[in-house]
Amino acid sequence: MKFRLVTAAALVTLAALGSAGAADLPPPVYKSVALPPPAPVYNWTGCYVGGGGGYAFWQQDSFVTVGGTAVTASQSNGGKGWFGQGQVGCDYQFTAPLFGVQTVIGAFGDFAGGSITGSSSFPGVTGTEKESSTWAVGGRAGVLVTRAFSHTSMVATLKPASTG
Amino acid sequence: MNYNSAILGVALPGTLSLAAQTYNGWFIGSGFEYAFDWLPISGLFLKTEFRYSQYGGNGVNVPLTATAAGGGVPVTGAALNSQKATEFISTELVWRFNWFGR
Repeated sequence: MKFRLVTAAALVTLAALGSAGAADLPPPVYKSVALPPPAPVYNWTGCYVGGGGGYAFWQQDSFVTVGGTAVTASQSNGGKGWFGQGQVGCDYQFTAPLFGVQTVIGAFGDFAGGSITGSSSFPGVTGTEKESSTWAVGGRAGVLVTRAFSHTSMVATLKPASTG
Repeated sequence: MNYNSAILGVALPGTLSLAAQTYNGWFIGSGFEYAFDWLPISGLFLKTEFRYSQYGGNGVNVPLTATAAGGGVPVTGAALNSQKATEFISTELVWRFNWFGR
């Protein structure tokens, strides 16, 4: 707004140089026009709760040992299934100093329960196995692609899972 | 985990079982999160994430127990060694409730 006023004044000065004879004209009146405020940055800072679910797969390589010695070949098995999960976490949004990118960092913990079921079999042996629950704590960092959209990468510290 | 049939070439009556086991590991993931910035209430987000996890770097030995009918056969010293990996894809609705007065 100030910039526009200065520009206008400069233009008027140039024009006045070219019309020196018109000294009795009334000076032009400038009104400042209220510009709409810039769209506020949506706030991503804060703690949160979340709930949802999804689909999962597991694979395992396993073999039987007796006295610590492998007595069967290693066998690959897998399972799949649905799960539900809940999550708590906190995020902090700031402007990255180098490129002015809106950045979000945070920490979270979550718990998922479900029935991710598959086979756990060996030659001559058939078995089933189910991953019933898993929990994780981790950190994440991301950038705002738009003010309402972010891309995030996560790195975990610990993620125990229970099977039965 | 439950196993039927024979193991180690020795026929076992009934069922072999493994107790529920907890594995420790790590994960890495990536995702997108969207803010419902056009809603009259603030703080609602939707996110979708993918995670890859690995458990039991050198394998976890879970003791094998025979729980056959009629007394069962103890499987002395036998264990199942397992390395696991999982992939989770999830979608979550998130509510940010702590706005620090901003």
